[in-house]
Amino acid sequence: MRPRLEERVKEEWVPEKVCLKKIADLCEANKTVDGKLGSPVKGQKGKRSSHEQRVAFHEDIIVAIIGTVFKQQPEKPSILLELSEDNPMVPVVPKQKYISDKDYILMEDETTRVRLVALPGCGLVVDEIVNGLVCAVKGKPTIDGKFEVADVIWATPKPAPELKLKLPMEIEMIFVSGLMLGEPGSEESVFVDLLFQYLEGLAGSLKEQSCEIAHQTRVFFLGNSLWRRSNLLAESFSDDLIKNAKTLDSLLDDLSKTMEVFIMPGKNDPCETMMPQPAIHKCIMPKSSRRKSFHSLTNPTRLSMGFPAGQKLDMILNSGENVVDALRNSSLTCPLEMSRRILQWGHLCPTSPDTLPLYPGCSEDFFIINGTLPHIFAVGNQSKFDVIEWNLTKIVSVPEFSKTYSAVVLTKDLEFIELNFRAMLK
Amino acid sequence: MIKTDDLYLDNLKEFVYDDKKVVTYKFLSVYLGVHVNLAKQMLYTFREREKKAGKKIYSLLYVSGLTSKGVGSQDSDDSPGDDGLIEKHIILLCKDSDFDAIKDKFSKLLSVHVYCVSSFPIEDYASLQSIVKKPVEINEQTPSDFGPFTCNNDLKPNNAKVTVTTASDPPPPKVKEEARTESKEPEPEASKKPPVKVQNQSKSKNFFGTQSQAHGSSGSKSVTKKTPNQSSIQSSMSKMKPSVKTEKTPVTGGSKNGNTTSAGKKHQQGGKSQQKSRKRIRLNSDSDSDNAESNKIASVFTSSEDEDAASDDSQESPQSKRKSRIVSSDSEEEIVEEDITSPQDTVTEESKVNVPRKKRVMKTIDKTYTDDEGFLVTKKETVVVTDPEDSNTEMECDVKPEENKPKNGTSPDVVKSMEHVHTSKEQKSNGVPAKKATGLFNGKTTASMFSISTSFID
Repeated sequence: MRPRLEERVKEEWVPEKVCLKKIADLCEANKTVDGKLGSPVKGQKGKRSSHEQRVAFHEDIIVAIIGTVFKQQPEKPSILLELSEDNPMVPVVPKQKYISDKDYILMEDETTRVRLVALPGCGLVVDEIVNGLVCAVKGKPTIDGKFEVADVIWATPKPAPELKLKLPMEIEMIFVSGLMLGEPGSEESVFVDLLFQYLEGLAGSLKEQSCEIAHQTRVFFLGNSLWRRSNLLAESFSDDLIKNAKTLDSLLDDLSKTMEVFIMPGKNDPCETMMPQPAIHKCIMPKSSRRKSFHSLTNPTRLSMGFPAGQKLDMILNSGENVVDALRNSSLTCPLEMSRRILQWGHLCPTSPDTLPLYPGCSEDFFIINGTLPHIFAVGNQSKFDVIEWNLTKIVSVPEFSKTYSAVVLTKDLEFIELNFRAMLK
Repeated sequence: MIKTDDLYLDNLKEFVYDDKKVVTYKFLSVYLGVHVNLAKQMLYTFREREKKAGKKIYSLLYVSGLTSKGVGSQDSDDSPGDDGLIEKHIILLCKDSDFDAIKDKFSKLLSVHVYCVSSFPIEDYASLQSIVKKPVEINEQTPSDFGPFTCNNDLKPNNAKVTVTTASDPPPPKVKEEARTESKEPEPEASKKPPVKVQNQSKSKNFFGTQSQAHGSSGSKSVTKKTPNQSSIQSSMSKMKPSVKTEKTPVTGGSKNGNTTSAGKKHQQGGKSQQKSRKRIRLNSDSDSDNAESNKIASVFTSSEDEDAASDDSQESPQSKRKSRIVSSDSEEEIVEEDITSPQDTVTEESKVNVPRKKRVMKTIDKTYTDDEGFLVTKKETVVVTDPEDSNTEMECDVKPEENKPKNGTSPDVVKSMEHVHTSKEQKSNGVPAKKATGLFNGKTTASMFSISTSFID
């Protein structure tokens, strides 16, 4: 991400004569006159990169540094703290939020780190950002060895290319998430059944079938399609899960006969729980996997959906854990806003591997949003349906089906509509 | 046809009154083998009749419509921020009696029909739950078989490298629409046979990304016609006035058409009942000799590197091995729709299939000999003569020699990778090929796993 940031810094800040430096370059300038020091515009400031953090104070020196923001959160659950506690028997209550007033941020690059002090209005609000973001900050070192931030640039990908689509489209797509098949409780199965009936086109009058449902040819299951009693490994092979998987398989098999099915794993699904999650394996869905109209996606996924007449819709889908986790580390409460930030930050799972388990050993970072922004960013397993548009990208939060009995339909006009299932029964 | 209708309705009566069941249209459709829309109509007719006759009949209605504000003021789940401008599509199950009250809340009603009927009122979820929990399946047919929609749902070839993440060659979306148009029209002739012909060369190619086909290009080659036994429905279908969509994509199906036809004969796959088609193929082969069956299976898998596809050694315990072969080949059988481009000569790991469909004549020759270590080795060579190219060369597929003595079970043999055809020829004297190949196989799977795992996001 550094190259991208450097580019942007050059574009935006260099005209202001801001110099891009590594933090270690901000070393104590005893004399350090390397010619540049004299000028008030460019300069090197510094602190010793070892343990002394002294910064020579120079007015008017504005520097830019690029690095990863590390947010020190005392409230964040730490296994070390738990182990070191004297009273290990105290049950740990899972916290809703890991933030507190005692948080502070550091910036760390390849050389060393420096504590940041965010000036108000700089765009770097300590409460809102999460751990692990890469950005470029502009500012100057302060007298006490910190770095004052005046402005910040995120590694936002370029906006999505203009969608030259001929509306109305001919295809509609449906997004469902959080199906939680097999959840005990009698209501769920009725609605799931209703959903599948709708998807398969069985329900509805002739007119609706031909006008509406006929165009709905793709359905995306964004995570958590199965219900699991708990995520413990010991229970992962429980009979329940197997039974539910079989049910889901036959349901999807049936569904695949009539439309294209894309399924993505979530936290609860019988799949690797660490991000990025690989696609649900064929063995788990033996019947459906045979079909060509069934596709198993990884989590997260970037798809390029084709439409008739050669149009392509670029979509990023994920099952929502990254957003939920990021929300825990930030003072924001709206998942949609957090999703927007995620796009802005240019990284899909900023909090991993910190609070979100990440698969170790990957040589590259898969979560960086390369290229341009997608046209659609769908986040699953949220509490309710909502959609905003930002930078030509439509961000939609797909509600959890098991709680809201709602799915989301992307209509022919590229609008999102909530599809809600109800029954007037007790 | 009126008689049949009556018959159906009588059936329905039985269910409702005698069995005290809650009859949903799905169940009725599958039970009677009729189209779902017909089933809905039947339920409606039945309900009307019974009402007229003064009997107590309760039903749940399926109501679908758009609403600008939350429907059902009973539900308090509308967020206060719902300013009434957000349109929701609501699908509601409501009781007969409540319908009138509810229908005003919709700004636009899309459809209403009977969802189920019963002789007792349905008040809570529990009674419904018992019905919906178990998916309706009779004779392996599910309600979607009687639904109006179908799409190209061929089985994948087994070696599909499912790198679905980059769906840059998106599956043609037109298929479903097409299929719908077709299936809706009452087709008398189709009623005689189960649906036929699903080929989608272009689609499979798209899927493999071997072609840079334009997405959405000309959709599928053929349209899956899903018409369940329509003989009884024909008359009633006329009532339905299906709306026919005029757009049909030209049936191009890609350039590799030559191969498709022959495959078409072999792989008559219906939208439903892959089992049926499978059985059909099996039947065909059963009628021939064992060799022929193995030939057929072999022909499915043929490629130069494919050595294990051909049948087992018929001399030793043919039954057990063949059964296992059938099992494995069944799943792989319908695969092939060709995929021509995947090169015949290069070895791809799972390339068991990817065979151009050409007319072939296969001759099987048995060769038995004793090798160095004293194992009695029988080798079955199947030589394939193809039409356009009458060569015996490329299509020659050798079977790994089955060793008489150690019967290491069928699986390692079946699973052997093809690429070491030549090397194995030399090594057939030892038991090494077995291990080596399996080792290779294992290695390959991991490699493939890695390749999948690294293609998360592009």
